[in-house]
Parts: sequence; C-alpha cells; structure tokens
Amino acid sequence: MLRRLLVFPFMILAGIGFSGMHRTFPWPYPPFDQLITQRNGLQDVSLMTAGFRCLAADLGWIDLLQYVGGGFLPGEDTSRAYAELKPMTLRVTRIDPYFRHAYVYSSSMLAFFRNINRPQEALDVLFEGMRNNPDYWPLRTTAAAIGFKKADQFDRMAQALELSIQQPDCPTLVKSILANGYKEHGRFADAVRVWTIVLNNPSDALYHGKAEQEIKKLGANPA
Amino acid sequence: MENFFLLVRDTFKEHVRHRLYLSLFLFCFILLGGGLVASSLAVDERARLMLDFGLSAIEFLGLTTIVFISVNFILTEIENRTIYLVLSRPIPRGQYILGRFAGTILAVTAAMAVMALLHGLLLVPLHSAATVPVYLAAWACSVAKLVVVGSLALALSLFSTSAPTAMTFTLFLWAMGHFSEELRFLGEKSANAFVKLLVWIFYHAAPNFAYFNYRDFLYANHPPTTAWFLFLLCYTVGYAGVCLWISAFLFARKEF
Amino acid sequence: MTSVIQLDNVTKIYRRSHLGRVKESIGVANLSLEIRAGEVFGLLGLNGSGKTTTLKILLGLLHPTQGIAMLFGSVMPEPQVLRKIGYLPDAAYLPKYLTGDEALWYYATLSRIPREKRRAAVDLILDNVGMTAAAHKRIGEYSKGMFQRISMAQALVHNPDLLIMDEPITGLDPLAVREVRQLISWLKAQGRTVFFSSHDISEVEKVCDRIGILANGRLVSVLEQKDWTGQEGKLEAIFTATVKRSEGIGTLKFS
Repeated sequence: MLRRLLVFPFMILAGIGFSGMHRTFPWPYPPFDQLITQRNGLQDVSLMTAGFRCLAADLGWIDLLQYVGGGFLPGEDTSRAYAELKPMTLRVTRIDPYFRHAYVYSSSMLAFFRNINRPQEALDVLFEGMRNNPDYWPLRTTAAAIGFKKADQFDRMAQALELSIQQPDCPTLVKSILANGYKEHGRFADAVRVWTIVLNNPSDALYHGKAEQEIKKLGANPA
Repeated sequence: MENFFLLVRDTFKEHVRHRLYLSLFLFCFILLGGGLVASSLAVDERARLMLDFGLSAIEFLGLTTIVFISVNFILTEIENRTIYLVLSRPIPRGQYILGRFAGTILAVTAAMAVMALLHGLLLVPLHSAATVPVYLAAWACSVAKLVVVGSLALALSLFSTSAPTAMTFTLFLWAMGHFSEELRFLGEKSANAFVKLLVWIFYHAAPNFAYFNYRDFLYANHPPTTAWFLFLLCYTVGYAGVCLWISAFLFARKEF
Repeated sequence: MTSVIQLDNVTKIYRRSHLGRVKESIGVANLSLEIRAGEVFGLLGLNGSGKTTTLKILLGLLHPTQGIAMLFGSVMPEPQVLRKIGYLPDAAYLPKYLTGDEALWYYATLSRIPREKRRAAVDLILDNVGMTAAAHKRIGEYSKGMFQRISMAQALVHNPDLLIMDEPITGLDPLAVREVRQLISWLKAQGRTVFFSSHDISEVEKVCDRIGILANGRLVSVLEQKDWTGQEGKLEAIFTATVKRSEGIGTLKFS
C-alpha cells in the first residue's frame, strides 16, 4: 500500500518545482507568432522544437553574415541595397531577443553604410533591441549616434560611438565605421587611434590586415 | 542496497562495453569539428557559436542515446531472456528497474562528461574562466533533461511493449515539451473552452523541457537564480520519480 | 515431510489481443500438486502441454489467472523465497558482455551470498563445473558446452534447497546427459529437492521419485516409482496412453 502512495510525493515535488521555476524565472521569449518565418521558417521552428533556440539564432546570424558578405536572396528587392537586412536581423532577434550583437551590427550597417543609408530601419531595429534589453546601454549610444548622423552632427555622433567601441563585445564593424568617419572628416589621428584599437584587440583578428593597411595609408606606423 | 549498486555497475559495464558507445564519441568529434568550421563563419560571435553548437551537440547526442537505450534495454532483455536469470533471484522488480535505469543514466552522463571535456578544450582559446560555472550549469541542466526523457522513455516502453512506438511517443513528447510555452500561448488565445482545458492539461502534465535550456537563458537580461536551479532539481526528481514509479508498477505486473 | 512446492488449483489462461479480437488459450488448468522436501519430481508432457508455464508460475515470472502457487510456504511471487531456489532454464540466457567469473559474481550477489563467502562460492562452483580456466573469457566467446556449464553454475552457486530445471537434457549429447543425471543424483544425496520438466521418458524414469504427466494443461496423472520400476517400457506405455497431440496434426502412418 505504501508503495502505491509513493507516487504522490513525487507528483507534489514536480508541482512545486514547476510552479517555482515559473515564478522565479518567467518565460523570457516572445510568443512564436512574432517569428519571421517567410524564409527558413522550417529550419528555425525545427531547431526551436528540438530545444536549440540559441543555435537557431546563431545559424540565422551566419545566414545574415553570408548575405552581408555578398549573397543575394531569391525574390529580393534589388532596387535597394541589402533590402533584406532588417528582416534577417529581426529573424535572428525574434528567436533570441538577447542577441545584442545583432542589433548593434545591423543597425550600424543600416545607418552608416553610404550605399544603404536607411537610418529609420536602423532605429526600428535598435528600439526593438532596447525593449528587450533595457540594461544594455550600447544600444542607446548607437541610437544617439544615428540621431546625430541624421542631424549631420558628426562630432556628437563620434562621441556616442566612442562610448560603444569601449565595450569588449562591440562589433568590429562599428569601430571601422567610426574610423572611416574620422578619416572622411579629416580627423586622421583619431582614425589611426581607432584602427590601432582594432589591431591590438585579439577579438578583431579578422580585421587586423585591414587595420594595418589603413594605418599605413594614413601615414602612421602600424607597430 | 548492495543489489542496487551491483545493477548500476553491471548496467554501466554493459553499455560501456557496447560498440555503439564508442561511436558516440566519433559522432561528437565530427559534430564539434563541424562546429569549429561553422563558428569561423560567425566572425565576431565565434565564441558564442562554439559554445552553443557544442552544448547543443552534446545534448542532442546524449538525448538520442538515452531514448534509444531506455526504450530498448528492458525489451531486449525480455527478447533474449537474460531477464529470467535475474528475476528468478531474490531481487524486487522495482529495485531491478531503478538499478538498470540508474546505470544507464550513469553511462550516458559519463559519455557527456567526456564530450564536455573535449568541447572545453576547444573553448579555452575563446572563453575566459568566468564561463566555466555557466558551462557546467548548462551541462548539468542537459543531464537533468536526459534523466526526465530517459524515465519517460522507459515508462512508455513498458506501457507500449513496442520499441518503435515508445521511441516515437518519446520524441513527440520531447518536441512538444520544448513547445509547451507556445502551446500555452495558443491556449490563452483560444476562445474554445475545451481547447483551453486540453492545452492546460497538456501544459501541466507533459514535461516542460523548454525550462531545462539554461544554455539559452544565460544570455537573458536576468539569467535564472540559484532558487530556480533548486526548483528545477525538484521538478526533475519529481517528474522522473513519477515516470519511474509508473515503470516499476508496469514492470511488477509484467509476465515473461 | 514438509512441502517445498504447493500448487493449489492453479489455472493460467493466456489472452492475446490483435486488432480488437481477443484469443484465449489455456496454459495450465486446475493444477494441484505438492512436492515434498528432498524429492526428485519430473514433469512429463508433450510440447505445449504447460510444463514451462508451470515452472514460470512457480518462479513468479508468470501470474496465475486462478489459484495459488507456493514455495516453502510463501505465496508466489515473493522475491525473498527465491534465494533458496536455483533455476536452470531450457537454454543458457546469459549476458554475453560479462566474463564467466563476472557473471557468477553477479548472480551470487543477487542471490544474497554474503560478501565474505562470495569469492569462495564462485571459485568452488567454477571448479565443480570445470570452468576455472575459461572463467576470465567473455561469455560471448564461449562454446555451447561452456554456456551450459556456466548456466548450471549460476543455478547452483548459492547452494539452493530447490533446483527448478526446464528441460535440462534437451539438445545435449549423451555425455552431457549423463552429467546432468549425475548432478540430479548428487543433489538428491544432499537432500535437495529437484523439480524439472522434460519430454525424455527414458531419462526421467532413471532419476525421479515421482513423475507427473501433463496433457493440454492438465495434470492427468502422478506416478510413484513403483509404478514403472522394473517394468521396461511401462512408463512410455502409460504416457502414450494418457496424452494426445493437440497441435492439430494427425498421427504418422508408417507402422
């Protein structure tokens, strides 16, 4: 008889655990109707259903980088450069809203790349990022930088981006945007300083060659 | 108790001496190698991708192994009748089931530990020492998930007596368990009271695997606290306990 | 003399359901039998007569549909009473991934032999069955004869009071048959009880004190030694007169 009753303490324990988990850590992800599934929906949902949410976001991130690196998507609007950049970014961030790097990277591209120059899309991405990551201030400084860029106030834009590039997880793209901005506005010493930061940072290894080149072009010694 | 530990040890030996056990490490090697290649495409986020890919690969291998073994080990023993020489001895059937299950969990956990060690070696150049406790917590949550899935698979194998059916239902519950929060969202949106009730029952009765994915939560704004881990432990022990009780109940009534 | 085995009106009905249809077949019906301590009892019957069913009910591997099976006064299934029983199945169902020594250690532990006596018990039984030299090889590498020796060893390692054997001589060569006969005689001399099933009349009549004949799940007769001793062919005649095939095949017409 005692053995038959043994199931009840386990059920109670499971119930306590279940309610405790939900109370101490509410579900941190948006509902699945917010997923961007027009492309790769099957891949994303399959991975999420198998319990590999962040991996799905990571693979989406690789897709985005491949796209940025020169890929084209079937049916893409070719009248605008990188027309799918915003939806691809949101695809990643709707799966993992805490993929902070994606917000900063994509919004920087959307706002600061001359051939893209879509600051409103960049701000849309950033505002979503800020909603999901209210404590991550580099998103705010990037938004501020975009605002100053729109108002054609390069110096204040540069000040805002300087705060971002101090972050250890700042995308190298943002550093290169700032350095190129300094170069365009004749602030060569600042440009060399930023490229030197890139050169000395092991995380920016993929950009070390470019940093060396740019420093030489600017007439300084890379060493 | 001596019989229980004997069964654990013997089961561990049985799995580790099986050729398929070694192939686990081969698959792990291949997947981690694939992760190394794929992570190079992630540019600035290589460290994150290596971490996610490796933890996911280890969990995937662990879970597919535990499902396959848990569904088959009793059914195989019944088929080749080695169970006769055990159950004709003074060992309560419940103790037998628990001992064999514990040995299976131990064997798969040991394999996952070795895989985690290999993965850790690949992560050393990319991550600092601060990642270690987080990694261990994520790994431990995967092991907890494995315990629940394994106990569920065992109960289903004894209920259905068909290995393919049990595996199918376990994998179905594995998928639905990761989808339970989305199901709850659907249930809340539905206007149909019956659908709401069905979803509520399923949400509470089916294992909620989504909450075991600490490797996803560690990026959240406010990652889970110590109290959450304790509740997760309660849930794991409670849910697995219910499944193992059902398994012992079914096994006690089984005829050979 | 005390009862070691007591079957009291035991019935076992097998129910198989397939696509909603349930088929029933009788394993054993109204089986009542008592075996005394120190006795050698043989259960004779054709294939499908219920011999293995009876043995499995005694061991708790099957649950009777009706009636009670008792061993040493305990209603089966009762795990604790199984420490007094050794079981030798019809084939060697041994774990192939263990060595002979590991397997016997495993079964000795499960049979509750105290730790301090276990090593000696395992070594002794290995020596008795002539398997000491091969004890450290994996069972998967054993020949058929070695399988049978280890199978015998696992049934005897814990010195059981009752040995239950399911068709112990089926498929054995004449030398092995003689060895089984010697074993049964040795056990009887030790005062142990032996209960085994067989359809080999000539061997059964050599070793048994009593014989039960099963036909279609029913115990149709129980014979004492005096009923067949000294009368060549008597047991066979009783057996053939008592049992009829129920497999749905006719008699051979080569006579």
